[in-house]
Order: sequence, then structure tokens, then C-alpha cells
Amino acid sequence: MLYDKIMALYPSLTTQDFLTVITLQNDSDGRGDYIAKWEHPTLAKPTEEQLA
Amino acid sequence: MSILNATTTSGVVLTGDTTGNLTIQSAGNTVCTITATGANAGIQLASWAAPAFSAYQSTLQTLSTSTNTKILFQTKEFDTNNNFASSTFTPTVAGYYQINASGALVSSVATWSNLKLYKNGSYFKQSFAPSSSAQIDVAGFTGLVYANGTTDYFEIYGVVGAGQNTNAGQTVTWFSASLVRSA
Repeated sequence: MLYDKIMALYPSLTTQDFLTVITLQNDSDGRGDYIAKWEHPTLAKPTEEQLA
Repeated sequence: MSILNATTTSGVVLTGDTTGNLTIQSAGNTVCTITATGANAGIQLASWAAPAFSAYQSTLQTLSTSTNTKILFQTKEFDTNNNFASSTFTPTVAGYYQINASGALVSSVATWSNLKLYKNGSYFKQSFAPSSSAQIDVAGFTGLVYANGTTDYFEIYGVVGAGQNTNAGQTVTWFSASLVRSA
């Protein structure tokens, strides 16, 4: 799961982060979970390689 | 049924009878019917002029933790103007729509859940259900929104604090909308 991969990279992230500055999304179109928004003030958006 | 028809060739054409009922047409297409008595007394807009639909989820889906997931509604109960497809409502009449949705979870963990209305692919409005230790969690959404009748479309997304399955069923996970007034 994308959420689990991100939490493994950044264990300090909180539920509040995912309700405000980070949006994970799945459009139920077969393409799976993806990062729709990443506006975290200090943590960089994970790269494709980090999430692979 | 008397008919008042605004044509594109002969102006307004009136065809009368003695039923006491009146149909108003535009270019031969019925817009509304006015009936004085009986079970249908009142003004009935043609189905295409007043879109309304209701659909529900008949197959459960899995929601991942903290991931906004489009909720699928596979079974339609009614769809007066064929504006609902692929779990997406795209009204073809401009106006103000009452949108309602309910999403249920089959939960074995305490969590929060949230239903969101997406407009044109973007988060637009939301509801929120607090943490619960109940075995079945339900979130509801209701709102009044504007649609331009051409390109605007609406979807329901769900997000949960701990990954789990939805509770599919006609009574618990559904999506409906109807035109309240035209633009």
C-alpha cells in the first residue's frame, strides 16, 4: 500500500498530515493509489524510486 | 390533453381538447404537463428536464488507510435522464442539485471515516464521522451544489483512518441527486 510505503519513509507523519498537506488518492480505475497532493512544509515528496 | 407548442416553423400552435389538462411543448418536445385533478395533479416536468438518480454499491471495495478512494456504485435504482454512469453524475440540465450519499464500513477497528464530494475531479465538500468502536461505521454526505449542465460532474470519495472494506448494500452505501431548481 502507498500509505505504508510513505510511513516507512517518513514515520513522523501523522493522520493530520494526510488530512491537510498530503492527499493520497485512488480513482478506482485500476491504476491504484497515487499522491494527488504533497505540500508538506519540510518533507520532500517521495520519488518513484523510493516508492518502488 | 391540450397542447401548447412553440414551434420553429409556425410560431405557437395550440391544439385543444376537453380533458382539462395542458401539455407545454418546445419544438414538439414536452417540457411539462399541467393536470388539474387525479393522482398526478399539478405540474410535472418532463424527466429530461428534471434529472434525478439513485444508485447503490452492490460489490464491496477495499479502502486503504488515509487514501481518498472513489466509491463505486454499481447498481442504479433509477436515472431519469441517463446522467449517471461509471459512478459519476454528470447532469445535462444547468441548475442547483441536492446531492446525498451514504458510505458504510464493515469495521473491526476503531477509526474515523469521511465522505467527500468531488466536483470535476477535485475535492469539493466533505462530511466527517468521528472515531467509533462500532462494528459498522457509516458516514453521510448531503449538500446543495451548482452544475453547469455541460461539463460539471460529481463523484463520491471515501477515506478512512484504517484500511478496511466498505459495507455494500442498497440501504447503506448509496449515492443520489436531483435537480432542485434550474439555473
